[in-house]
Amino acid sequence: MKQLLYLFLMLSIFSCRTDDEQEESVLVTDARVLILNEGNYNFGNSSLSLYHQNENRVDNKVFQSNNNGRPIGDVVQSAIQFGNELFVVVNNSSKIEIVDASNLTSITAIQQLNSPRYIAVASAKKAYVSDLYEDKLYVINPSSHSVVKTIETKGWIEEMSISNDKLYLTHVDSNQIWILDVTTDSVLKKINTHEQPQFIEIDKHSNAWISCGGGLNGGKSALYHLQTSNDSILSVFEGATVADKIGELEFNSTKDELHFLGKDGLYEMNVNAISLPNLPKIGKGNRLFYGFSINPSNNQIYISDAIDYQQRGVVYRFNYTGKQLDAFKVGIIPGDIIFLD
Amino acid sequence: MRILGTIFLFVMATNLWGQNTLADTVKIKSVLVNGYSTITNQEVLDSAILSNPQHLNLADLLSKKSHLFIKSYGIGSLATISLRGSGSAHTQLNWNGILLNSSMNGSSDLALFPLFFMDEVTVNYGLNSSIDGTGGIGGAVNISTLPEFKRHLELYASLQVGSFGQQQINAKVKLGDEKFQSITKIIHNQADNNFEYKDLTTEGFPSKKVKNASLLQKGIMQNFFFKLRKNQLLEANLWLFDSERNLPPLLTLRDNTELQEDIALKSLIKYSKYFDNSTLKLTAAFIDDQLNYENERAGIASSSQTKSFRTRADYQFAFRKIDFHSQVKYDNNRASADGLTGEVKQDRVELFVQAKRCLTNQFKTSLSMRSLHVLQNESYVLPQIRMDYQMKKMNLQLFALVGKNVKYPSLNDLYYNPSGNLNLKAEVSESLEFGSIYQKDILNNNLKLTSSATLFYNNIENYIQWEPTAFGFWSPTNLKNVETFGTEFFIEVKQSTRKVKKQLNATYSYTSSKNYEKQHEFDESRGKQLIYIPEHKGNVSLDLEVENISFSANYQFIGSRFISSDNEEFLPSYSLLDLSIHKGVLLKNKNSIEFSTGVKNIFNTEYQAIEWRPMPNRNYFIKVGYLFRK
Repeated sequence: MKQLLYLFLMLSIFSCRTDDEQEESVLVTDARVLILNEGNYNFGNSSLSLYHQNENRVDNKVFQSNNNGRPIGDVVQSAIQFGNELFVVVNNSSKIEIVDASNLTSITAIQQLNSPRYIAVASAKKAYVSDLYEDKLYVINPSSHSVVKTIETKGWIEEMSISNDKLYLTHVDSNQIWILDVTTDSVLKKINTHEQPQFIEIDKHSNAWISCGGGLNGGKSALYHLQTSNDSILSVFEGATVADKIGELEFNSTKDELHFLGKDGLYEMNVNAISLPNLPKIGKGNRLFYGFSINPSNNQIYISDAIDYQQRGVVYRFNYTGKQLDAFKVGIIPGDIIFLD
Repeated sequence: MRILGTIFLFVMATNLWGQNTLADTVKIKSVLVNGYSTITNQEVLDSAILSNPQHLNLADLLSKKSHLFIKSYGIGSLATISLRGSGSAHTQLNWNGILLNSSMNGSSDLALFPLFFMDEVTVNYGLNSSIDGTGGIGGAVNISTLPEFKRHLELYASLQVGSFGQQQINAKVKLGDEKFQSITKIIHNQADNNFEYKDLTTEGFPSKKVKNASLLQKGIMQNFFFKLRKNQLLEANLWLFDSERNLPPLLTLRDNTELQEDIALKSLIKYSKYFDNSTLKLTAAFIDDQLNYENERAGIASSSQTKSFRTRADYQFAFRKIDFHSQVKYDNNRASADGLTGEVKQDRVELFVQAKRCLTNQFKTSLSMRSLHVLQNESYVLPQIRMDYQMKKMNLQLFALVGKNVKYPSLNDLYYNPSGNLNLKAEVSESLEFGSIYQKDILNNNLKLTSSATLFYNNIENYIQWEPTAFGFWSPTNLKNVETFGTEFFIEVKQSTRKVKKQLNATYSYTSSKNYEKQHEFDESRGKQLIYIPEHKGNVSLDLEVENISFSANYQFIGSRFISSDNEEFLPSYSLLDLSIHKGVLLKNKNSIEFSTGVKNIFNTEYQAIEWRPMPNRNYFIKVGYLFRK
């Protein structure tokens, strides 16, 4: 019996890796940059990281720290700031977690959505939420935190933008851009695109730019430039080869220079350009550029790198000319980056 | 240093046990072919262990009784093997010598294998697995059905009920004589699996009950054995199994209805002929696995099917004091699924020859060569050398093996649409292992002691890993170069007198499994343990039998597992203790009735084998069985 105890004892000696790291809550006062770490699908390891730009310091798992150890969920896809509230879309947890932007504590959550992806705010009482599986668009009231109604869409919708009182949404399943009247929610027009329209941004002329990934069957990527006053296509830029993908889009602060993730890194393109850029502004080398954002207050570019998708990723910070300023470790699969007001 | 310390302490522990006593059921098996005896370090789990109702299925049994780490998604849910730090596709599951791993994903789900369908389970570690084929970089698990040639009729039925709505009905008919045997087995298994857990994803950590976790499994197995002549055996096996499982969502997800149905048809014919100096065995099998999946939230209803025709011929003979084993295998694998374009096929041929010879009374060696030919594609040649040195006076045997193995990419790896990667290279491993086996019978105490210690090293090149791409889908790549090394200890002490049988066994394994590729300066996975592979794992079992009452205790310890490749995140270690008691009553006319009851996870340990997937707390079962004999 003694030997048995001896064995148990040994097993416990060699296994003492404690997991009681008590997380202290994090103050948000001077911080302005929030990193949404998607985590692995169905792993529940999504998290939020907070970058304190002035102190060049990062706090990881800030949601968990400030909410009594509760994890945020599975796949934080996107977030928007609405007043002093942050609406964090937690895709695979089927919810929008509404968080106090000043201290990152949860206020409430809009639950029982299906697979929400992105939010576009039309007014204080109206915002749209796109969904992967639901075949519907949710209309929510961001002030009362409630779902007001749904709009039939029959398919997967990704990013949306609002311009000239119209909602422009990327309808992935049908390879179309749908245009809805924000007042009546009626569909005004559907525009056919290349396969897999996914990202959309609005420029300084209130015109829309939409990128299409090219789909899974060997189609080419393309960039659509849409005039929102009459909803006509101004131009279509197609990737030279199937490998020349056009992914996430973002504008600089003056909204005249479009940036997108492509095959070799981050590319920049003026709104008046007549062709796609050949060379990236920031080459990725052996890095894995997963998502990016441009800080509207100083045009600094933040690019996230998921490395091997199984470890804490890294965010690189560049000045607007593309010179790397620094890099910091965040959570698993960092995606979008939000600049808090 | 910690590793050395571990080894030292265990060697010490081995010695302490050596002076004392006790025993277990995991045996070191002798294979005797024409005078050449090789003791392989394989574990054999016999029918007495398999029939213990404490063990829920093959996954549960192997977790408690072997060095295998089972990655379980929940009670009755998907359970895959990790052996010697390798992945789920690196351990081969064989049924009477025929591979059962899915040709689509390369692995097998052990929750779909009821123990009632098996008479013996053996585990071949590392290079020992190559006797049955390539791909077992970690090793191989063999399940088999064994006949007993005698004139008899046996009818058996049992009912087992347990916590969380668990109910299992087993029935068996065995009949035959000295020349013919028929075994029919039926299983009906259902459970709600609605156990209570602490919800760590909700503030205040309230108690909740698992939803959508029920299962219903039905199966029938038929075996015929014919002794054609004195030296010829023909067997035919049929295995039908239907499993419907609700897949409970991750704790961080909302309620969802997710269903998986697995329908399996496995059939196998084997012919064996024993000559004076040689043995011939011919096996052919047809395996048809269908998987239907439904996800209400995602609106997905998908289906996949694999059909495999797998054959092997073995011829063993002696020539000039050398024992030869030659083998030819041919596999035709076909798969169709929503994610595959049309039906995909793969034909594989394996050739194997092994020569074993005693160089002296004490020193034996074996050389083998296996080749894998993926038709219209690549070929691989895999040599292996084994040496055994017996120190009879010290009851000690030393052994060393060195060799290569290969795991060819699965059909999903190559052809899955859109992400399959036709440029994938096969995973190639170079292995080295050595160890010792100590066996001693202490006759005046009726004691038998067996212990073994093994050190292994494995270098796996082109380790395949699926990862998401920036454009929305996952794709496999030869991402990593993995080195594994470790040590395995095993001790068994048995004592039996006329009235009392005692048996103790303990296993311990240390496993280091690390990636040696680095993508760029911020990649911190280099030199770190792969995710979900515990460094430490141990089991202790104690079995006591006094007249017709037997008592069984199984303790298992699973060390912490890293869940991020930079080893910053981990799941804590856990230990589980299961106890059971069994009473058999012999009735008139040789009939008997049996009663068993037990408690599992007696410490009520809260644990997660996979992050955010709760595992069952303390639970109970009771079983009644009746055996009619004629």
